[in-house]
Amino acid sequence: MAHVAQLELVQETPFRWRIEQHGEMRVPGRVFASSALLPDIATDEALRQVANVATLPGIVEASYAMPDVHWGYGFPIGGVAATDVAAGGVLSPGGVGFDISCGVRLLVSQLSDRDIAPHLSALMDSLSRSIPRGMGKGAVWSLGSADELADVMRNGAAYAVAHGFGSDADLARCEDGGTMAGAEPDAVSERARSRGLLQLGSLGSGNHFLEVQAVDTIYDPAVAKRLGLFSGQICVMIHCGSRGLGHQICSDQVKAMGSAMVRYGISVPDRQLACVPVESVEGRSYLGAMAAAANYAQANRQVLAAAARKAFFDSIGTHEIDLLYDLSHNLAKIETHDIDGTPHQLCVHRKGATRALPPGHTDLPADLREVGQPVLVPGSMGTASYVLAGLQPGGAFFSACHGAGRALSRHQAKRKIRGADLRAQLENAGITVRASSVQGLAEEAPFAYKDVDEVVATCELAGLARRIARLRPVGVVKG
Amino acid sequence: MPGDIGYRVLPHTADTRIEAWAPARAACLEAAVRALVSTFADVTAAEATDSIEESFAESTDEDLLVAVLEQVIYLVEVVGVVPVTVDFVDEKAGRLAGSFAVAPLEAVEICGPAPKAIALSDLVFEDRDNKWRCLVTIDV
Repeated sequence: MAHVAQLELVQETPFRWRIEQHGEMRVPGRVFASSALLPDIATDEALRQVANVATLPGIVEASYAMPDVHWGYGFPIGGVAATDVAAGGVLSPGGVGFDISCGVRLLVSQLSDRDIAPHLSALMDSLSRSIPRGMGKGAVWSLGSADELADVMRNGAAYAVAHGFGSDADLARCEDGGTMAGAEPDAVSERARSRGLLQLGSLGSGNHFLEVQAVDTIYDPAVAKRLGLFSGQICVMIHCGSRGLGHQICSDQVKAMGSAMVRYGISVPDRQLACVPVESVEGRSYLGAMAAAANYAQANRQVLAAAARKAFFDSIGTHEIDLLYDLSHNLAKIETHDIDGTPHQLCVHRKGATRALPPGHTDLPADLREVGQPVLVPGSMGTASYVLAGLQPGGAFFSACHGAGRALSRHQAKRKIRGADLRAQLENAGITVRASSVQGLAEEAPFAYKDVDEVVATCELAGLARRIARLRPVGVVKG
Repeated sequence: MPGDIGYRVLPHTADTRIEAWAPARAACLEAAVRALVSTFADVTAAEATDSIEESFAESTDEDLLVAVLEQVIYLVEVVGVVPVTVDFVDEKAGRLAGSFAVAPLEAVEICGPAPKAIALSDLVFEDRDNKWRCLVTIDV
């Protein structure tokens, strides 16, 4: 048993801990963590936030925390919570996060690390020119009008493909086929639209990146082959979301729900947990706006992928770059899951957590149904990333981790190393860096994050997802 | 909290947290804007090229603080400018008149990630014996 502030943690299995139900909690907390990860998790506010989420009306089973959980606002980052729609279960924008549908896409080439070694510098220069990032640096696609933005919000990656950014084959490998149903652009405020108009096809800053990676370990050769992965293969990972549009939608909706909650007799321990019943006017409005932002995010990653493909062609002459998968790790979805042996319609919030459907799940495209859903786990800059796959019986409503998870604040990271020194260290380790801000680079230093190898191993040992392949960074483009 | 008016940036695991203080509400809001700007831009050498007027009428002091800081994010993202100096004046019924002297984004040195939203978690804006103090977490 371990104690964190006033929270009592009881070890249920070697890789799962329970926060005992107390006070206003309606369900216990459940934290997936190894003994090595637990001290970091216990030192910030994340566990208190896991307990706060357990107070939400209609929550079922438990308030879950993934192995990469860390301090967020309202929900922890790395939190999963499901509410029973028919039982008055609530929907909380804080359970999705500011960056609605922040996510990851992985593209795979037919080139090996040896093939690109002589061209790496030219490739990174080409990517650096092609991928807008940082503040006020523009975007790949200048949308011509508010109507065009509304089309993006309705149709997502499919709209980008229809305008020449990629192919239909890409859409088959996007969660929801590249378009989340139910988008309501009319539920998006004018301010959110004005932020979205200028940013389609841009990375942003913070922890978002585009990386050129090489497959360095294969754990399951048969599944890796089915996914088109081979040892030494050059891949491109893109990590970004719905930019200012999604952030503004979250801000607007948290405020609106904060005012509306009282009408539903709901109170929460943290303003960022503002929520309303899924089946309410405000709940439906949020779902429509959230889907609009999710479509914007999917279109954003689709457009960036097209820019990356062009950079590969310009510098190396290859067009053969296929999409392995695109997923969101900040989203709420209406899903059916068994609770006590009975199917229930649940609103599953995953904030900094990835859906991880097992083999055979009917929501998977036919060519992935045998292997399970790919789960893409970006490491921090300079460390490994992973391809996992969902498995049975899974856990936390088929969810897994979303990254390494921060261990040090940006402040602490900047005190430990200068950006220029970090860049030199990465270059010495064979990782080419193209950053828009050298100072910003230090904030994302690898030591500011938890050990992604430990996070992923814990996911596997806890039965959430299994390892398929490990990717090492070769080149980094950062905002 | 050294000095009557000031600010500092505090550690936060994933994002940025700022604290600002002053003897009056408007001055504390000005310090909060300076704190927010300091997290991503060095404006010490920048010259303002324009002035943007904005009035705020939120129902609580906390909401006013959020609205003021969200305006900075909007100016950076949509207008492409960074506040170099700000001047806020309290008006009747809790309203606030604001003047943002701004420089183009490309004219300032960027030193950190772009602010994208203001969190309501652990938000503090309080007056204790004419010592105003705010604590805000900024999503980056």
